[in-house]
Amino acid sequence: MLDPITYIKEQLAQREISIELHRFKKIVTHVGLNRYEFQAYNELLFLTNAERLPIGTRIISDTNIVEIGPEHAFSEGLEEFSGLVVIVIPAHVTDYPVIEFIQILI
Amino acid sequence: MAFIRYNILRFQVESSGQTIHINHKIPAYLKRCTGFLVKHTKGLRSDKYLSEIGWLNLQFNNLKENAIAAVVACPALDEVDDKYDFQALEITLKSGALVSGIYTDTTPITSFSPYSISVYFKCSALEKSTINTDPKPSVNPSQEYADSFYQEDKLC
Repeated sequence: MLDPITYIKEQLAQREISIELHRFKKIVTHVGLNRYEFQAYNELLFLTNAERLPIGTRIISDTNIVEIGPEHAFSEGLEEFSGLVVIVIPAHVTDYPVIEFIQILI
Repeated sequence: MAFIRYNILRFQVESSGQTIHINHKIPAYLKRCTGFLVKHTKGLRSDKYLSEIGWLNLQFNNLKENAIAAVVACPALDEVDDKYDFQALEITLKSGALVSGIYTDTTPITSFSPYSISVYFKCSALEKSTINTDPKPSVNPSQEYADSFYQEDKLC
């Protein structure tokens, strides 16, 4: 079982990035709003609950773009985002998710 | 032996809105990357200049240096696109390190057809520290050799 914090620390140590702070960041989505935009400049966001997001959810950032598919239900990998981040929830969903990241300030 | 080497990264965009994840190795003998050029090279022709067909983000040295964020344009059908203006970079390349990133197509679905993108990396096989910038002439013949190639790099 992958421990996200250990993975992130080892990954950033390999990339010689020092961590100023790491904490959790939640984006709570609501009925009637399908697009969420926020800034993550000089920080890294690791998505931790991809398996609970509706299929078709798109997370677009300057450094990575992910569309949630059936494969994410079985994947332990952590997707990383940075820069301007846009989350688009598919129009047909009934349960609006909470999107959870580990936020690393660098 | 030429001082400047060009390394080319090519990929094909097959569908509108496609995201391509890039993992590319620059040969280990190349020590520095001093410029880059992104060009639309095949497919997708339009009567008018398209100022944005996608955008590219690249990180060098195994995700250590986020160096390129570029919007890619597509010239018009009758436009002679013979400009080769490399944008400056100053990256010391780690041997065998990956260039990673994403390309995202932003072409409107109505005007999309498959196309290719080429990213040209202008590289040098000499490390910066080996270049003698001392104005006094060197007595070492091998050092003069390196200097002359450095001049070539500056002129290009």
